[in-house]
Amino acid sequence: MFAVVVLALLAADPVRTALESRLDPPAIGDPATISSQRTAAEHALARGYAKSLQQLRSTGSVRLPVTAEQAAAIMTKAVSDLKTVRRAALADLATASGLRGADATAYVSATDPGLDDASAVAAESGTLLAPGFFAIVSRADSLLTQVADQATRDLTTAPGAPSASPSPTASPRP
Amino acid sequence: MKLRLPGWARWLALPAIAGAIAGASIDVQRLPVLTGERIDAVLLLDGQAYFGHLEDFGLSDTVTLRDVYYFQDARATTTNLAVALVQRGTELHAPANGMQIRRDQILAIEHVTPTSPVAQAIAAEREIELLVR
Repeated sequence: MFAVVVLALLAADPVRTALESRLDPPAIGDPATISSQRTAAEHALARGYAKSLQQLRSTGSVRLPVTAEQAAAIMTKAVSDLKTVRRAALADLATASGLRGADATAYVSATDPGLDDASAVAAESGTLLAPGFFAIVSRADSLLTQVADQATRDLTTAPGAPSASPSPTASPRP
Repeated sequence: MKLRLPGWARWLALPAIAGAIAGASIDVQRLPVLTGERIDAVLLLDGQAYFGHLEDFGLSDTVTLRDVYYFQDARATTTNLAVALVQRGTELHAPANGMQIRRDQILAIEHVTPTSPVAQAIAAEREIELLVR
């Protein structure tokens, strides 16, 4: 009877979990692993920024319905927004890496300028990121794409032109 | 000299030791204190792969996977990899207490090497979870 009670207790979730954590402790990443993962995430951010910038430059290189001044203003704002997204992602990477306050700010300031040129990391083999780092990269990629797409729409839409999705109008009856 | 064991030892410790020895004779890697953490990959017939701590009791129609991770399509991102690792539990229904998988849907079960990219990413995720607390 006693053995049955003990077995039932051992099978219970809290007891089993406690036993497992003692007997089979989960492996925790060391600082070197975190550092290499963060570097891989930074490279992914650099590629995302470069991709969006390339989209802007390609759009800007064709004949546009907006004036040169308007195009320059749209491009300047878009590049500024892209950098804001990149810096925010770097700040998230810093937090996920355990950096706080001045250390995080120093990390962002030191790392951000180095991500302007992604040519060196464009074709590097990818690293399987930890889910926490991947979520940051994925969100940044999404936002960078949104910024580039919005700028592309602004550059290719003539001022005063109807919007891309006009409100429906009644067609003349035959 | 006669070895005298208390009652609890006879009824608990000795069967546990016997079970551990019997288990080790089948699969040495089942001894966690000797081999470190064990992560298994459960590959399903539909092509999906799940990674985690496997509990497989032969009499059940299902196996249980805890602390589960899986691959997600990452071709739209700039990681230069077609897949990304995602931790199960962040879905809208926030699944808890592991994942039961029907045995007849399993194609293969494999051990994950501790130095593999999957094991490294899981270890890094645990470190991140500790650091952001």
